Amino acid sequence: MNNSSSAKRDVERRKLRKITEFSLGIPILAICLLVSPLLNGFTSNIDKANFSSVIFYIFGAWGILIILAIIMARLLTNGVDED
Amino acid sequence: MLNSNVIVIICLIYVGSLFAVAGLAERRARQRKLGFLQSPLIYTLSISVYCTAWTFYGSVGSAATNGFEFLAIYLGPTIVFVGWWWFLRKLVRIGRTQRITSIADLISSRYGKSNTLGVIVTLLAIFGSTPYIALQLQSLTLSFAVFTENTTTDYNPVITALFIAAGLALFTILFGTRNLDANERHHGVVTAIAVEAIVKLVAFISVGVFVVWGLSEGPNNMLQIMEKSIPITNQVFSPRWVTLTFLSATAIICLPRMFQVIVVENSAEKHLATASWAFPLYLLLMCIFVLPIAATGLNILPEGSNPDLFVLTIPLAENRGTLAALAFLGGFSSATSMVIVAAIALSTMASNHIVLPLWLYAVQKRNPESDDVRTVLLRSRRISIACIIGFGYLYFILTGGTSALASIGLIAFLGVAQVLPALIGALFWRNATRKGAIYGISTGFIIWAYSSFLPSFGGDFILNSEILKQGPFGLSFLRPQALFGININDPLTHAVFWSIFLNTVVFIVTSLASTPSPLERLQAQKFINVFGQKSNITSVGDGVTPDDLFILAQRILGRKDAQILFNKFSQKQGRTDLPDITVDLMETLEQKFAGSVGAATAHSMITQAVGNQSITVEDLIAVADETVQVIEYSARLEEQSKELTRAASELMDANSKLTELGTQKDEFLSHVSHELRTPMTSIRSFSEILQSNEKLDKDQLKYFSTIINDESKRLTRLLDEILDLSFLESGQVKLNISNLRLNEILQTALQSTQQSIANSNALLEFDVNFTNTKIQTDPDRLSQVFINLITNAVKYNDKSQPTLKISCQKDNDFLCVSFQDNGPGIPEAKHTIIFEKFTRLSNTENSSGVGLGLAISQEIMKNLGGSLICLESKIGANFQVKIPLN
Repeated sequence: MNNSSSAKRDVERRKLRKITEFSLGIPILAICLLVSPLLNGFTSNIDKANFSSVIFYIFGAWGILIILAIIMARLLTNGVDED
Repeated sequence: MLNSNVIVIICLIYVGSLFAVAGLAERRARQRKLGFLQSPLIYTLSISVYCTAWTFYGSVGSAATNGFEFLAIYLGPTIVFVGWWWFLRKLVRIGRTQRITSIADLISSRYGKSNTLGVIVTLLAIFGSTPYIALQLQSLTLSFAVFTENTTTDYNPVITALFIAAGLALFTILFGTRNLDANERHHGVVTAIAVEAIVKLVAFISVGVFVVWGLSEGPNNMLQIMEKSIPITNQVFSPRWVTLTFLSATAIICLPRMFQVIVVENSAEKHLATASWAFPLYLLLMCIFVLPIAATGLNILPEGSNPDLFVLTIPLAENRGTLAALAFLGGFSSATSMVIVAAIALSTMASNHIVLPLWLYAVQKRNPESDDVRTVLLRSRRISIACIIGFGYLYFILTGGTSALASIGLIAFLGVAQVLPALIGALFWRNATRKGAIYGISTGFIIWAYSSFLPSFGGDFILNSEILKQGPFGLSFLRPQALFGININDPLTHAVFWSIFLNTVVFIVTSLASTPSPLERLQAQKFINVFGQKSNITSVGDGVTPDDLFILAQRILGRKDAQILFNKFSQKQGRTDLPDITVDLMETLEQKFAGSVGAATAHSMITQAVGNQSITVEDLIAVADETVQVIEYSARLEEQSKELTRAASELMDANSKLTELGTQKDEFLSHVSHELRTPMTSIRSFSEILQSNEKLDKDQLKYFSTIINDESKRLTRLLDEILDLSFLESGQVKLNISNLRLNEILQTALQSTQQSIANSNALLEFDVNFTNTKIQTDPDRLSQVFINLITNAVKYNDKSQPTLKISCQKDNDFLCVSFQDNGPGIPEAKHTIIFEKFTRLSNTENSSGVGLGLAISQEIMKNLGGSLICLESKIGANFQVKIPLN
């Protein structure tokens, strides 16, 4: 009984740790997407023709980051509450 | 048609409602009906004070001239917020646990509550923010001017700005310095700012929706217009893009007003989790229509129109009065909220780090108890607010209308960004020192001023254009915008690189070269280990009375709050009067004071009260903790491994003992079964003979039955002996103690062995010394030992005339009786083995015993409190019986 509950806590703690580690990935992803030469991969040879692709890329990446942040915030606060 | 009078009226109504909202919020907060006021929504909206007039008007202007570049200003904060768990959370937790009141307070508190650092950061912040406040005033007057363009009213921007500045100062003083709450939260201001945040977002989106769906035919058409009108730089990603993202990411942390709303006004950490996505979303919404508005402005407005005012001029040009008014209110909200929060943040810093220490210094000689710190503090806050907004106004008048002001936003960002290395060090680097922070920030500040701030005046202020071009005294490697001869195209990138780089290098090198003071180390530990702090309650030594502290607390916290706090501690300690001074109380007091006057001042006040005892023993212990924790941990590991080794070796011992015991048991059993088998075999075979052979004569019958009888007796004796031995060994044997002379016991033994002595023709020599000594013992048992020894001496003797010499000596409390024979003797190696069970030295079959005699004898002696050993002897064997006298 005692053993299984402590094992469960262990699993939960590991889960929370994984979530927090994963949460570090979002700012890193943000930097990779928006403050790296990757940006030019999508926007190089910029001319009038792919003006919209730049807009869609930047705002799309931005939106994805926000969605990830929503998911992460929910996971992290749940984890913290349990803690 | 909108004219300036209508706008003024709208403005006044709007400001009036803001006052009402703030007042209402304050009232609810006082009644402790915080509910909505403390929601994550309000928190997130208040953070959007980041979007100033510079955003509202400026981002469109930037998009119209530089294309995508403006986006970087909003991506930086987005990155910081989505990574909130790793930085902002720690910052907020520290802010809450240490009652941090401003960024200057945080830096000063972390680096040994150094007021020098507090002053430096405060000055830096004021330097960086004043132009920014001026920028807000400028944008406000410009937007007013838009409505007066076509009227005959004599419009004077200086007067307008003065009115605005005065109004802002009034609002800020009213709601920003209403109370000296222990945690510096301003519910009224924050709620008003949240309302303003909604207004500016709604206003901006309304204009955006209008241009996309009202002026063009939807998004697709808009994209075409944008492609045509928005200027495109070569590549989006460039050093300048990185620089701008970095600067904006830094600004969201380091700008005094951002620190105020994110850290100081935070009421629950989980609000940060909501803000982590909601604030980036807010920024996204603020940005999404920037390009359409810019493109539309460039497209439909006459050439030469100020792109900074497109948000306002497009609706006006299209005769949309209501929309224009809304847009104006949006801009008005952006500008005013920034000024208000900045003024609060800066005034807190200025009064806590500059005014109050000066005042404390001045009144030190007078009787301090007569002064009320609260009054001084509130007054100094109010004056500071007026001064700071006044500085902004002055700056605006002096430089107003110049292009210098437009670029000042980023320069201001870089100014406060100089705090960043020290701030990161504060949160994560244990070895960061006060010296390192002071030198690092100063270096960055100087380089910023030299390469960015002063050149921004375009050669009109201190640095003339000659110096800008050629360097001071013609030293070209010191050219402000090409330091060390390295040419970086963009002056901003150049300034960011050199100032932050050298700042960081100096900070790290100086920190490594200097030693932190105990207080710095204590604070470092508190900051870095903020997750997982616990306080200890210990009594502090003398030097301060509870009354002193109570008076001090009353002066700073106010009579009521101090009373409540002290009562709480009294109750906790179970006292009816003032509580004992504990570290806990002191820490709480210091933190509460810090909430009002800043960490450095609070610390100096407390230490003054405690009598210049700068660090308590407990503090030192806490400092040592850091080391001790590591040591303790490794010691514990070592201990554990030692314990494991010990346990393992014990287990091994136990195991070998068990194995040995097992072997012994096996041996014993095999001995016993062997000893039993011999008599049993003869009994069985002879009884079989008796049974099967009926024609036995009398003699034979007698012979066989005698054998059977003898063997049965032997069996019984053996079993008796085994039983006896096991009793003796377990100590369960019952002794019949009586007081007798040794002589009597010996006589009994001799009588019992008379027969065997006579049979073997043995000679007995008898030493009579001490034999009359009385001893307390079990006579039967002792004589059993003697009998055994005498019998052995006779039985195993190989001489024709066995001799046994019995002598007696006294050895302290013992009587030593020795039995010396002239037999074959016992080799020294076997002196102990002969006392083992079933041990027989000779294999001669004449021994009727089973080898238990000596074992039993030794056990008896042990039970009697004496001993039986085999001594070394030249001739024959020599046994010594040691009997206790009492």
